[in-house]
Amino acid sequence: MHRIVRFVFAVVLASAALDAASQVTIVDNQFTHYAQGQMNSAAADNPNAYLYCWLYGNGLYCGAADGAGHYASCQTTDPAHKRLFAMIKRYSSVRFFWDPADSSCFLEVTVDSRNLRPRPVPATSKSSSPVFVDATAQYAYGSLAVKPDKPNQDIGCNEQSGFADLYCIAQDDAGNFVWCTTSKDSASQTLADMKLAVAGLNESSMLYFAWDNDPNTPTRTCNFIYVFNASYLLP
Amino acid sequence: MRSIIRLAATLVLGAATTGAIADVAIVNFGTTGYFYGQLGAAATASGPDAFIQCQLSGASLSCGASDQTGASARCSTTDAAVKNMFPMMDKSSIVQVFYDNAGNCTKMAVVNLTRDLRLSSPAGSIKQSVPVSIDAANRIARGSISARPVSPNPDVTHESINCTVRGNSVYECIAVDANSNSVHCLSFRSSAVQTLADQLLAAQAINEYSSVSFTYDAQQLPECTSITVNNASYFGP
Repeated sequence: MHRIVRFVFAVVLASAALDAASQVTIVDNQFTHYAQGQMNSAAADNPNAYLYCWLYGNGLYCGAADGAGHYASCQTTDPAHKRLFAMIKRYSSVRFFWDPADSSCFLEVTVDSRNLRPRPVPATSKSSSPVFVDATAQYAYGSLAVKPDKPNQDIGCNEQSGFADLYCIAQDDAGNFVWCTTSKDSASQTLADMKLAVAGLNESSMLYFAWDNDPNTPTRTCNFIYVFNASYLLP
Repeated sequence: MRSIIRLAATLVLGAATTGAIADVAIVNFGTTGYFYGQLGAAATASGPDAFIQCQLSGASLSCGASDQTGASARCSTTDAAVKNMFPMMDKSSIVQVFYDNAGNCTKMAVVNLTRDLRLSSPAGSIKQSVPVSIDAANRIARGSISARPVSPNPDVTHESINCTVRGNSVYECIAVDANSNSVHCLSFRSSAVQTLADQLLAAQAINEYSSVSFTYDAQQLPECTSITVNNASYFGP
């Protein structure tokens, strides 16, 4: 579990670099509770505003900060909501309502031609995580949009309809290359949820994957895939 | 057959792990074949007309590609496992589609990797756009997501097309043409021409490379009756 904590810590560090809002709106009053924003311009008015959603285990979690001290988050395991994760791309608008009683989400995702020419966001609002590979502890993570001066770094996944459903790879700056594949549930995550996570991969993503070695085959079997999409991870 | 498919998959995965793939490839094995490419980088300097596209219309997903020599391939399917891959198709994804000699798309693979984010199509690449239009008589609206006229201030024109999908399996689409005529429809159920599942799948696949058309009924608050989404490299911004 500590390796996941380390990954989450990396995510928090990445977001801590942003302390500040605008295109992100949070409404939390006696009548309604929602947050909304656009991935590619969340920080256009305030460099500390951000928006994210992640698919972790069997849950979808979304959060937003307006940069003015307001923060909102929600979570759901409802498959109909989780399926929207793949729609959350750089030009998507995301709105989530939350239930104050249990923080459950009601999610909406919009793709609008108006969102393709966003106002620029300041460089200080951006962050990324280098690709990190630990072959011994059998996990790897990193943001897809790594720095241009790190050409060796690579991370991503392949999803196929049918055979060998998922395949993930990572290579760090030193050239350490790891991969795993799976077409079955693991003890910690169903194949369906791993596929939902991979379906959400795009240039705003940070990807974590872990694997175990099947004693009967030389195959490295992916057993946990976690995808975190955030406005500040966009290149 | 199975080993050939595995080989083909290995080819793309192998290429993906050793270097970025920039153009469209079409490979035939006699009775079967595959093609692959990226929406954001299908066309190249030596093949500016190369393209790759997939379209979900009704219950059918159809995909096609043309490489830099002008060779082309296309296929279609109603297989839910293949159709479910459609929303993964994004600007920098490598999309690989397998087909048989009957023209059926049998498999689809989508790869998202760091190195593929750096690709782009060169100037002069094939481009098409579909301005937003509303045919009120036939109750159909269409437009490509990237077709909005270039303007220093994008808000001077109201032309737009968008769709929103909600977690309760409801979706809605709005189109506004250059004359500010608009239509807004919403759906939460199957229609006579398209199931709700296929409507949602199509709406979820909309991206900046999409051309979208939707039909609606004659109610005062129109209900969407179908949605067609064509994701093609030539519809890009």
